[in-house]
Amino acid sequence: MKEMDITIQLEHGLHARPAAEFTRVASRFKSDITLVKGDRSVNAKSIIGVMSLGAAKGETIKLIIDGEDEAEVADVLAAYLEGRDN
Amino acid sequence: MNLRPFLKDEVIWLDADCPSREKCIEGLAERLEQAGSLENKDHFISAVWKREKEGTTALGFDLAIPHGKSDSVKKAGVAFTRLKKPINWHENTGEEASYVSIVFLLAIPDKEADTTHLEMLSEIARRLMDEGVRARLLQASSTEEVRQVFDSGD
Repeated sequence: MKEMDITIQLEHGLHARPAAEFTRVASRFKSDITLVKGDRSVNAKSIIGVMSLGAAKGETIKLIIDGEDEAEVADVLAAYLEGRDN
Repeated sequence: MNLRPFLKDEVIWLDADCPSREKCIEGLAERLEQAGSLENKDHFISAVWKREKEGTTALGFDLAIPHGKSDSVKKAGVAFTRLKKPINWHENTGEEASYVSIVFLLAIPDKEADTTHLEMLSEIARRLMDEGVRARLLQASSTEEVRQVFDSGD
């Protein structure tokens, strides 16, 4: 199990299109992935769940990853949220 | 964000007889225009379609949240419809079918893209994740019952 805090650097935050994109990337992995913001936690593979967080640029969220590919998941998703993947 | 002030009678369209995504977006945009949200309905609809072409706004769970961010929006608004018959939101897109019977159309002024937009989307998503909330929207028999769905809880 891996846990990491990430500060979102996506220009407009996790609104609809980035949430869909994020979910698509997360769904490629086998690990269970949870996003936590404040007192709410959601499945990172659910678009509606990710959108419901309303995570804006500059906000910090926690990523909890549990599974055989967790090391790779952590790298890829952190890069996405920190805007380093393009 | 509390959506109740946005959900006036004129933007709630129950049991809409819409055969397609086009008709649905057009009908909801007309209601936003009546509610005074839009400067120019046609420009707004173009912004919604531009966004639709960039990626689906169907989220699963019977739900789609199309939206347009545009300077043709005077003030932020949301219109709601429950369709009489579910439609395939991905008709003619080549994507896997996604049937939808609850649609929220958001109109966001350009300058509120990072604030109001994110708050409205997250509020709708947070409510609609709950199966009980979706059931209440599917069964609501009045506009007031639709508003009440957004009152409950925090």
